[in-house]
Amino acid sequence: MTPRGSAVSWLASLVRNLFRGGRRDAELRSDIDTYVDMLVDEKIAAGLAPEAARRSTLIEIGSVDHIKDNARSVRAGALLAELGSDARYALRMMRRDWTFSAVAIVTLALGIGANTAIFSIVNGVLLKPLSYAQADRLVLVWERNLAIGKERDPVAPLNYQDWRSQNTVFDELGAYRFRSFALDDAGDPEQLQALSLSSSAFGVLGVSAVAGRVFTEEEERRADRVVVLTHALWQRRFGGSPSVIGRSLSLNGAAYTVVGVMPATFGFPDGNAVDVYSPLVFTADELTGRRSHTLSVIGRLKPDVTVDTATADVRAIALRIFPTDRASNPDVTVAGAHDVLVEDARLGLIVLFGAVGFVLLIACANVASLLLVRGSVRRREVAMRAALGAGRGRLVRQLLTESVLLAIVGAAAGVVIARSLLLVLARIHPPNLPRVDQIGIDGTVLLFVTGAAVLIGVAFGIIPALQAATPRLSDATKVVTPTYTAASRGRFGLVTGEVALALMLAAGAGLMIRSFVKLQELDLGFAPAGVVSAQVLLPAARYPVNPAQSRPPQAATPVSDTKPFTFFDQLESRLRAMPGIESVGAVSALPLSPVGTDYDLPVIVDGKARPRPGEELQADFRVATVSYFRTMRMPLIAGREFTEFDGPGTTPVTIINDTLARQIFAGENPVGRRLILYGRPREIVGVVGSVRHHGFTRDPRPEMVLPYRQFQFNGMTLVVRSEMEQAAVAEAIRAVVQSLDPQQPVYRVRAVDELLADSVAQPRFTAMLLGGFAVLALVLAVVGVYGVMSYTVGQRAREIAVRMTLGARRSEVARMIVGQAAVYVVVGVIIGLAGALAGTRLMSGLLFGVAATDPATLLAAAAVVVVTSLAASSIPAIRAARSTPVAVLRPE
Amino acid sequence: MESRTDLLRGTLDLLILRSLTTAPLHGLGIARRIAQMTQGSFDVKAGSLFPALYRLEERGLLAAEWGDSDTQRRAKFYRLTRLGKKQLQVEEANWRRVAIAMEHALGSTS
Repeated sequence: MTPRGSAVSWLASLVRNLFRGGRRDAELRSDIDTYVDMLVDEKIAAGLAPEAARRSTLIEIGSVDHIKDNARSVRAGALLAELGSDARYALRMMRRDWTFSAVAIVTLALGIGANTAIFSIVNGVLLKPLSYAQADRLVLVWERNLAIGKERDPVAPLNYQDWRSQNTVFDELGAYRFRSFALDDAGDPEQLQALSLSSSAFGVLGVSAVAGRVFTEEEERRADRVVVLTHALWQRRFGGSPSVIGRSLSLNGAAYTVVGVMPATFGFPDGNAVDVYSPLVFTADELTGRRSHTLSVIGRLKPDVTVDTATADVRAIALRIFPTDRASNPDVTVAGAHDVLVEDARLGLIVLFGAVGFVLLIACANVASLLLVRGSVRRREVAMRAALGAGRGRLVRQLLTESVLLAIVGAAAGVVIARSLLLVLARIHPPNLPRVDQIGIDGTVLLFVTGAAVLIGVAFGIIPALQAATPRLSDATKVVTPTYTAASRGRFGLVTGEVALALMLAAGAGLMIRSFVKLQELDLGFAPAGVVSAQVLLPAARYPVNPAQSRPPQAATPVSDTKPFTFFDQLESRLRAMPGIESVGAVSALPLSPVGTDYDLPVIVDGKARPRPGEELQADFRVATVSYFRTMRMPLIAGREFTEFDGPGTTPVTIINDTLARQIFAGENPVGRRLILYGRPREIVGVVGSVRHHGFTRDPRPEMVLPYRQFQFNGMTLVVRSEMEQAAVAEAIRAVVQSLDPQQPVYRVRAVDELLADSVAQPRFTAMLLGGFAVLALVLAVVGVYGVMSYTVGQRAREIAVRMTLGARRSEVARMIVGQAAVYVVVGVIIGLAGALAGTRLMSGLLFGVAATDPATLLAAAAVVVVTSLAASSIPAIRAARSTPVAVLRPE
Repeated sequence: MESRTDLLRGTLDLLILRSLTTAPLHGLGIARRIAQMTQGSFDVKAGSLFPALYRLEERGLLAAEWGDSDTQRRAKFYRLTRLGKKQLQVEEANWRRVAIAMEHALGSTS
């Protein structure tokens, strides 16, 4: 039945209250004062003495402040106004107790800063959608055949064409594969990375050129020599000149016309660096069989089509094709483009985000325990305010405002810390971390920080506030002697919690570091130190390879050497002749390197029954020059290495690795046996040690290697072992290549050591950050234990003094204090171990060669936590033991 | 009779509006007038009075200006606004209906 009145008037009041609250307050004050004065007047008129009249009036109406507060709290916008005044008060308190505030703010800033930095990465890499229109509908499609362990097999061109014409689930389907062009018309030849793609791929991604146009389906069908430049290449090589459109470029010795330039922001969702886009053209072989699996396929799902529906649809097509061509695969894998791009980084980032969350929790616990201590110091002040009429809710709100304000200031400082942290992380993040350009402190991150600040302000403030806001009014007037209260229970909880969290982090970091060390100790199967690698890709136009080499022999093998062989043979011998160079070799695909010609073939042993097609063992296929194994120091286990006599006119030979030897010949001597490769028998002349070609964490795969003189690729990776500096070796390689062919570029000159470092960059990054967070957590927890124990010693000063007066020895006092801390720590360690056992399981996907529950690591982590926290508590313990009882007891 | 639940808050608002029908009054005047109108049943204390006054003022039902009291004190005098008068009529009618209904309800059981 409360009268509603006018909304306009209420709004006007709101504005007035918010902006001219001071004047309204004064008016309210004098209104009430007049009321009081008039009451007093009445009483004087009734015959009381002025003094007595005033006293009895005040007793009658109670606290004027309380009335004023009540009247104020019904006013429009009262909550906001109170918040403002609370914040002003909180600021005053913050300034008054500067040490406390500084410690709390620094602690929170560290916690929030680390969280903000990691969240920026999580947000940029995992959360933000890819920068295409309706990016959630973009998926990648592969062939799949679990029978031979192929989860994601690249797609055969004919399969792509059939999927594209027969599916019912995609708006559009596109395909692409990498190729490489030598840009050889200018004075400075350069190897360009190209993406050869169907024109439909542009449509799938919903992009168009920023200058000129993208190529058409017509041009693609006619195999026109047209290219679209990336923005970066346009700027770097052509100075961003618009006249480049329509210009002709010499790529691999052929003239290509530039038809367009892509926008600066555009990149393919696989994240690989590319210079030009060219139409996807299939070879005659590719259009007659499904043996060559070379394509990546990307599709845009129709609205409301799920990944599962799409999988079922394309699988049905694959199943129809499979019986007609066994080189195809009977199943498909469909996965979201974003998910695929970030899948290697996801678990590591989530673990880091969790870890940094723990650090924040510990920071909060520290601040909460500081607040508890301060709560008991401020008990008088709070009691006073309660006595003056502040309700409990009002007091809690005031105290919470103080803690939230602390958190907000801490968060602001945290953002500054996060910015510098991100600068550091930008230098040490793994080179294969996807979407790094998306990482930054943006609106989402700031929203996260603000939300987190308010939330943790309430979280660490609520218990101290509730405790402090329940004063006994008698506290207002007397000197408060600290006693054991619920506050000590709260502190106990905080310390054990901190110890538990620190232990979990230490355990996680320990596991990650052990795993990383194991990786480093792993035998790769070759000696990378001192080897420099470089890519040389000979254009097929000038260096034709024999097309018959990958077909069953029809006529006699040509007995002359090809141009590519001659080139590499001369390159190697000229380099080898240079002083300081120990040995030189070349291979079609270098271990741990993302470039190279890398595929597998079925292993067919001459004279053995073939397994059913599609279920044969597949082995990686490579080509190497004579001294490749020696240069890489891969051990020869049986037979012989290649020699310069393994040539076009001699017996076809191959060398296999011991993994293949074990898998296929199980104990028998493979040397002298023959494998059928490309329809041609090849004698196994040697067995070499296996290398971890696909990275540290993958076991070596079976391999078959052919001598380069008998089988050529245009692209080879040169390896040079020497004592010289990397730059000198690189210069030597460039000079020799130039002397052989001035139009021929050399690219990706890298020390093999660097490739190695790149391949463990992700675990190293995770281990490093996790280690850093664990140290931070440990420091915070130790500070927390120290703080609480110091406070406890202060509280128990009298008791300790009495004990010492009664004959307790100093060592006993110290032991008592450390003993008390030990109870906290042991309980914390037990909880922490349980938590670690549960938590580290989640990171088992990141670990290599060490179990998530590795007892040694867990025990070591527990030992570190116990020792450091007991050391922290021994400082106040010693202080207590050194105290002089008389000094403590005298004042009373 | 102070602060007895929300039922009475509406009542207090109604009483304040009613007390101002004849002339503008200051705070203590309103309290005294209500006591007089209810024959001493309602003794409105400052703790309830001022929040109610400010609430009604902000809703535009009351207006106030400072003036001198008969005892020569500077005081804030409240008066009904047009909206306040209209609201008073509505509230009065409501209250009467409720009162009659309550009377019937309580009378029928006894």
